[in-house]
Amino acid sequence: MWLLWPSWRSFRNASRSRDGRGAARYLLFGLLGLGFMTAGFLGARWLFQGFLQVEFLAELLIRRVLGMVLMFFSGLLVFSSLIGAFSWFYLADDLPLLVTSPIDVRRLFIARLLGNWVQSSWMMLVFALPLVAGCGPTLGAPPWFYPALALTMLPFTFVCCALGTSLAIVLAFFMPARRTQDVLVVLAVLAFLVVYLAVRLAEPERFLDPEGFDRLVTLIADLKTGQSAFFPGEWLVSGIFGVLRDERPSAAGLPVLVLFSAAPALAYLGAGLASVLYFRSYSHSQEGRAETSEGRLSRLVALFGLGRRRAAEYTDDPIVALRRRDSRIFFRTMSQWTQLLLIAALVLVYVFNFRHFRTLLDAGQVGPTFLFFLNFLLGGFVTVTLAARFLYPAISLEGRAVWSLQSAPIDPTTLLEAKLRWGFVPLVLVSLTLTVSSAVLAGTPPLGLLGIGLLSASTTWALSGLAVGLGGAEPQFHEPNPARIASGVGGVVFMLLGMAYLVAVTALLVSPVGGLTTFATTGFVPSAGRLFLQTGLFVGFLGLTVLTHWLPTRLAARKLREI
Amino acid sequence: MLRLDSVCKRYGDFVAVDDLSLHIAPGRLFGLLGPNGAGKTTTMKMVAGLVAPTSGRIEVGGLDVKTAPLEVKARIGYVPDRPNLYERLTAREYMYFIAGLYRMQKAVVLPRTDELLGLFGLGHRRDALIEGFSHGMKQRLVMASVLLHEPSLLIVDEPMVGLDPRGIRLLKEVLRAQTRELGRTVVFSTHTLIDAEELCDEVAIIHRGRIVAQGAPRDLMAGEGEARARLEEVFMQLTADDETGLSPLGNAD
Repeated sequence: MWLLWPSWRSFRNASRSRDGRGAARYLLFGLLGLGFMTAGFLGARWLFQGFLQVEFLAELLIRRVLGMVLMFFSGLLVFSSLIGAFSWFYLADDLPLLVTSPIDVRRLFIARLLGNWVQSSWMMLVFALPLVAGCGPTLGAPPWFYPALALTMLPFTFVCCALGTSLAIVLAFFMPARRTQDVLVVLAVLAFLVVYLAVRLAEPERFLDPEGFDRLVTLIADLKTGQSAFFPGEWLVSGIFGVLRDERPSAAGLPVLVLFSAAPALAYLGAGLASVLYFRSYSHSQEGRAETSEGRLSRLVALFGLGRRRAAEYTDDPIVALRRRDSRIFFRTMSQWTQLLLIAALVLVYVFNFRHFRTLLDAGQVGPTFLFFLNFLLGGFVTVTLAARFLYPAISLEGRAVWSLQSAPIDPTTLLEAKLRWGFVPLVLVSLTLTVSSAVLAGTPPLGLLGIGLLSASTTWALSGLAVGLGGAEPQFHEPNPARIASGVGGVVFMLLGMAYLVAVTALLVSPVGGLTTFATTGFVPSAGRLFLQTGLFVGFLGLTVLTHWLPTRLAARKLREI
Repeated sequence: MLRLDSVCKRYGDFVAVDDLSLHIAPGRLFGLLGPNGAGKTTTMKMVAGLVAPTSGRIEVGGLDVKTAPLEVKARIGYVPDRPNLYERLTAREYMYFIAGLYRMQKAVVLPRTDELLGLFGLGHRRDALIEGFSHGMKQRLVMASVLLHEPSLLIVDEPMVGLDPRGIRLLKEVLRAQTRELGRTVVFSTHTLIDAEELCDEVAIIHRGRIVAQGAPRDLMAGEGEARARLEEVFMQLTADDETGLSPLGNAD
């Protein structure tokens, strides 16, 4: 446990640092987590209660669904533990200290496994625990069932983590750790893309209508998922049903006992494996370290001209120099450009989904103005999310090399301008693709397409300024991980402000857009007073948009000058 | 070339630099010496415009760092104590990037980049990513990049750290050439007192944010007779109340 002490102290010190802001951040995320868990529990309870409609199959269905849920989460956990293990065992900065210390490899393995387990499992517990617990009310579970379930989930997650970690030790024996990790991440993103598109093309929402329910029931009942006696999820499910159905003690207790004994057994086996393989694979990982961005995948990206090394490409314009540098670094950083695959999936899923609103429009259930703003808001929320992930961390990602900019004769406004130009162009392209193509699929007339296009472009401009500005006002040059920067307090504040801005824009433009739509379809001209009000609201929108872009960037420039 | 008048820097209650005044003439090779935490790096960062002084005035070539920061930065070349660079750029891309920030002419930048990378022994790795470089190579790349725009004042923080003997010798030659042949001013900090003795026209010993001694190394050493025959002895006496409590072996109190 002593080997975990530095991690624990670092966590504690970070949570106490910066005038209690660390604690406030954990509180905020704690509350968000609780909100997610409650929503997950209520959703699962609603689903399981629905199964009671088919009395004779209800228990079987619940069992199958639980098996599927646990199968999905255990797969996810094994994978995240596998990826995490490469960092914990081969790439972490403190490894040279630990490996050169007189520590038995088995002890090192157990300590790092525990660290990896905590890091990989907490999120799965937040999502999976309420889903599994959702079966409790349907099966008439007593109150003690819920804490007992939470306790039983711990060895379940540990077993998955131990499997993933041991697999990483074996893989790193054959290939340098960093390269293996990079390849696996890309494969996982591609697998996600394929699975998601397959699910979308199957249109699962058709099962939600009453006629489709029978087909859903048949489908789930036919599924054999999670029924293997060697699958830890099956031990957990058997334990749950054994306890709740008051079966024989062996039927109830044995699976849980197997789960609790499998956890230390796997840790022991993993430690044995590590004692044989670890040193050689650690040595191997050092050989691959210098080739981080020189790998085959990066060369593949370079084939498409992205981030390639062009010998004589020089510019004396600092903004262009900054933009070129950012593009090169982006496409040479695998964890960054692989996110583009996810964005592609997101755009496809969004557009596929939005065409269903056409049906509502045709049925007269919603009007064109409603659809216009629904498209704007949904597309806007996606834009806010992307801006949080890519633009908000832009200044912070200068990292420890920021001294080279601070000591150069450029004003912070140059840096901000470069970041804005670099981020705005791709973001507005994604935003326009989302909203305009959705509007085309929903049968929006040309004037509507022009309107949604202009609105998306102007709000994306405002959101870009907000993201880069807020990110620059509170830069975190010490944090190299953009995902962590985006998920910090500042990132959450940006998302809340961005969404509030979109809602405010909607409130300001509903009347002018409605008036314009009515005029375009019926030729009706509103009264002079109403026209004046609508013009005022439109001017208000323009003012709000300019301020949303301008104020945060000015604030950031001032803060950056002070640093 | 460089003038500091009553410069102070406070971080809350902690005084990093305390009423520090200094004047360095053009063409001088000036050494800043002092124990860890004495205020050397903070002073250098204030001159380079990375840290704002709490009070006082800093002038570079007659320009105030506070009122004309960009003009001052255009005249300065700053080398930090740790060579943090953009790891996923190549050496040449990094050089071009820095030159772009100074708006240098392409016709000057291209040959000068090759010349400087060659001078610092990086010519054969100019198209390799920086992430594969050793600490010493990164340090040399930073040195090469700051010389691109031919600054009239070079500020170099702990330049010898992490360099191999060949790298140290090269660096000494470059620093000497900058002052003796090109007439530029160099301010550098070091803990290697023999290097300061060998290189510097003038040194200042900073202790607890204040200058406790200043002058040519020879003058400082000669000031107190035989007992202070080396700069190291001067340093040890002047910083004897260093809070780290470290003392030379066999001389512990």
